Amino acid sequence: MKLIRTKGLISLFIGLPLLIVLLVFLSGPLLKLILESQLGSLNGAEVNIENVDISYSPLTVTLSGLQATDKETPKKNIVSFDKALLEIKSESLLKGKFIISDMQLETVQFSTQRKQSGQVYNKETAEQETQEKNNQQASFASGSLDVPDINELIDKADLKSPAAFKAFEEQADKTKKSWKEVEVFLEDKKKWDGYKQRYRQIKAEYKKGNTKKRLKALKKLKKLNKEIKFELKIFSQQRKQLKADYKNLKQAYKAAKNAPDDDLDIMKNSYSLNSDNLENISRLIFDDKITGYLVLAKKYYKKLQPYLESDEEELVAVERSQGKFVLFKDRDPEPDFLIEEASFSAHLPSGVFQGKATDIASDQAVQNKASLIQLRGEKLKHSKAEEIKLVLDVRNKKIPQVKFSYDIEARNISNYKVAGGDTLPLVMKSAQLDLNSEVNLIKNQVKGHLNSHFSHVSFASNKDTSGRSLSSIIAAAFLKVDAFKIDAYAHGKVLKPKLKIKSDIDNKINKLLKVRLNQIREEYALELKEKLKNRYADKLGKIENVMSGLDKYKKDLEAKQNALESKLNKYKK
Amino acid sequence: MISTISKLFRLLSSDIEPSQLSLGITLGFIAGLSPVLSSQSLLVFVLLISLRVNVSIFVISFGLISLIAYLADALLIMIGFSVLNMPELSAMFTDMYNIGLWRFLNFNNTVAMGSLVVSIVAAVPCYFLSHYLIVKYRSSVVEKWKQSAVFNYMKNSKLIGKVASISEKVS
Repeated sequence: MKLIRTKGLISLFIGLPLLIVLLVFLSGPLLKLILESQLGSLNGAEVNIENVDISYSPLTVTLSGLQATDKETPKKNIVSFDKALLEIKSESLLKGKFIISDMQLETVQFSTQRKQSGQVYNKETAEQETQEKNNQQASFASGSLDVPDINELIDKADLKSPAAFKAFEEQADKTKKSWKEVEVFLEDKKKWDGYKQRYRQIKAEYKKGNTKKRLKALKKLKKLNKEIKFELKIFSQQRKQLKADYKNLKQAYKAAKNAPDDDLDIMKNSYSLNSDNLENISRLIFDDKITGYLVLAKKYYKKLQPYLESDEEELVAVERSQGKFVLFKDRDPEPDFLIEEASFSAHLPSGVFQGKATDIASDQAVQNKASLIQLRGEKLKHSKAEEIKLVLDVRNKKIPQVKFSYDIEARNISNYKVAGGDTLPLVMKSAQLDLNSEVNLIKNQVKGHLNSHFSHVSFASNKDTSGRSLSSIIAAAFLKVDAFKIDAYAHGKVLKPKLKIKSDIDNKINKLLKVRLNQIREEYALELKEKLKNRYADKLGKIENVMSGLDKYKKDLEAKQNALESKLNKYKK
Repeated sequence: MISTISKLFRLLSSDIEPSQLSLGITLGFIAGLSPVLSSQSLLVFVLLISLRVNVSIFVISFGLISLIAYLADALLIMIGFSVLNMPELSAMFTDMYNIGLWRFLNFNNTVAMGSLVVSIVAAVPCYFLSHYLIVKYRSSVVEKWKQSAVFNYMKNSKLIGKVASISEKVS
């Protein structure tokens, strides 16, 4: 009996290589289909690969023209690259492990336009992110901090001037009345002429008469003297009266004249225009921005979270008929999936970044190496250099650690909207930024810092910077800032970190604010004074006229009194 | 099932070399015991193509042994586990474990190892036993049956001939 089946042996030797050759030819298209399907379901939207080439010595897979649809904007790719070269360890493949010893990605691009909209497999409802921004900008619009309208302030104020004017007028009327009586008394010509006649008569009687007549004349003179003395006493009383009246009038006049100034002081103190509320202006303005970045960081953390969470290996119940695998010592332990080294060039809007990644593994504990992703771009469109570094350490799955750093060297900023809205439209027209930041995430605790230095700063605002609203004052102060630093610190729970922002811009702005506020306060006071002056100009003019009239009146009265007094004194002799 | 048994008896009664049949039974026995992806299955596949083995009897043997092997899995796992944990073989298994091809062939699977051990131990006796039984069957049972009156009646009966031909067509 012939033991060997010749035909079978021939078919084995011919058929097997043929089968292998067929597989080699089909492996590319097959892998393309598998990858498109698997990556598509992973991405949640269509993934297209132009071509897949496989070479077997060493085992290398070349993917050309990969485009992954952005499931939120199907007209765009979330990521695309021209070429990916993957060198795979075939020995490890037999062990059921996918080890990429070297990976090179060329021209990685994000958010590129697709020729045709990609199919979205499971459209997730867009997650409404809670806006945790404290809208402190609203405080800029707060009227209580703004300078009040002068006319409104005058109308509403409890002014002292009208009462003072009224008091003066009353006093003036009273004085006039009192002085009129004096005038009437002084101008009693009949009375004063009577004294003159009597004096002359007594004098004539004394000169011409005998002793008896002379004695009679002396008696009459004595009586006249007594009457004149009485009149002089009245004069004296009237003088005192005049003096007292004048004193009261002067007091009322002074009070009326000073009343507008007193009112000005009262009104100046009735509004508070100070910079006490603006101690932390950087937080007020930049908090929005930094909180925005935190929201973004949280979004990425949530995406990263499943990889960081401890996934205790579950013992899969093996079916009896499948038996179980007895493990032996692995001399070269490898995780199920590993990218030992990858290099790539990413074409971002700001320029070309060169990147490298090492030890991207499904189980870092196997090799005891943390994953590293590093991106560095030099001579970029807007900056001298930028570097992003991410270290993902899940060797101990109970305490996952992430270290992220982002450094920027000499980034030119132009037309950066710092604060928006009508309240404080502030734009950083140009500046140069140097920044370094680092975030350390240990389990669910975060600790990070950001140090930034803005130089050659030029702010712009379409707000009227000569205005007196707080936002205008702040805008005006910003226009004078040419450099500042902002340091931010975050620590605490990763989804609710405590944020601390420090900046020297606070001091700078506050100093400038104080100067401007003082200036405004002075301008305001002058304006208020002017307004009050205009309002009371007529009144004060009248008062002035009344006062000068009364002054003249007093002098007249005094002159008349003096003249009469000297005359009467003559009659006394 | 009936047609399978009838086919088996026809094969046993045919002129095919007993060694071809016994080799088919032995290879079917090994393949039936082993998981699809194992070193012995690969070897069986190569032998099946390159040696003059009766494929029909291999298929019947494979099917029958697979049924029995399912019941014997517990025993195979126990044997495989014991062998894989033998300290004397540990170094060798460790070497094999670090070679991709062996890992691909699931040598460290308890069912695969158990079936391999049983195959190694039972293959040669299985071959010789089946060879002996076939020869014995042909010389005693078949010869006696051919000489019997029932066989002659059935051979000459037109009705049975028609039933047989219909059954043949149906099967």
